Amino acid sequence: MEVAEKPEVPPAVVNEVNRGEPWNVTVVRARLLSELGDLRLEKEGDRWFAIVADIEVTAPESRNDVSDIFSVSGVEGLLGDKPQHILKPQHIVAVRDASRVQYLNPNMPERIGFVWEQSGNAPIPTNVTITIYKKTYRASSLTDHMEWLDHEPRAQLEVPVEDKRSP
Amino acid sequence: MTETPQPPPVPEEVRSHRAPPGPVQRAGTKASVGTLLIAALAIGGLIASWRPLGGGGTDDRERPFIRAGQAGETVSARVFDAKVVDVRGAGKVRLRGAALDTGGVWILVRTRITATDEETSVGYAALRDARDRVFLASTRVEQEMIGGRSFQPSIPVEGVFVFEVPRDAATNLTLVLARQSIDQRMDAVAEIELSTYDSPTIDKWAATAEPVTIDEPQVVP
Repeated sequence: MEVAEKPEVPPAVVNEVNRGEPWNVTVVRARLLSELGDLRLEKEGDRWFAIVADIEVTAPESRNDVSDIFSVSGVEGLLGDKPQHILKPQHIVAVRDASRVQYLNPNMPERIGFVWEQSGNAPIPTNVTITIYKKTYRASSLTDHMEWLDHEPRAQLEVPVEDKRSP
Repeated sequence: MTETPQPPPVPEEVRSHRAPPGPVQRAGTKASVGTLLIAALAIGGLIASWRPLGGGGTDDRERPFIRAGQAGETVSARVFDAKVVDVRGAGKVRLRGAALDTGGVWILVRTRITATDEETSVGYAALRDARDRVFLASTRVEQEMIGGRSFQPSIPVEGVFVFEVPRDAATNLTLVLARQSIDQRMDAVAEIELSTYDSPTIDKWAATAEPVTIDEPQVVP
């Protein structure tokens, strides 16, 4: 029997918009930080790992599933819940005023920081692989209601990690 | 010597008058089973791959009961009445001393809510634009008219619902209010059409440097 291969995820480019539904995503940078506004590290000696991206909701309604946009790999020791197949960010904040992001409105692009705490014992990352996900609006075969389903990778990119920790 | 009468012989029970199946009939039986199996698999496959088209009509069947009106009119959402009193726009709003800007424009909809028969709350507030885009009430500011606040019957309360929308959406908006925060299916929903504004007015709102303070809700006569 022939083994089905996992389909290859198309590449994306830093600072170029990756268009799709229900979000357009532009990955701007990845950084290590020692301080981040009023956020507090759980453990002394840990550090913040942050991805900054411009997000524009392309769906016709406000969305509260911003934490589904990315998954990251290649960075060890990230803290956070992993209820499904991706490690969701611990904090999602608007760069404009450091407010916590719960919803994003359609066609109102916003620069967002996706933040994880990284264990101080983990190696310092120099690169991170970011996978951008998509969803499809279709009728659920379970409920028959129109829903955003099929949370799947749609693009992948390698981003250098800037070490911006204070000395 | 007398002969005792013998009982008549029991006729041999005949189970079937058919001849045992020959090789051709056995092949036919196997073919029938195979056909049934293939049919069952085909039907199962159809069921498994079935996707309702257009939501299967369920969304339409279970749509909310819309009560529509205009700004200044009282519109019933079954458990509460809503009346839009005033609409303002702003480039910034002030909350606890901090001025919050926006990538679009802030829309502040002063609304009078009166619970009808029992204590209730407003769980859902959104603005819908002319392109059917739906903008939920902003979570960047504390929304004192939504969620936690309970409204008592026949005691009107006026307060502000605060939204952020793109400038191109702000010219033509409808306020949508409901009791349930997530699922409004088969429940009453109030839809109140706001006045229309031209683009220069929206741009003027967005360019205003002075932040607009969000008032606390108040009981009104």
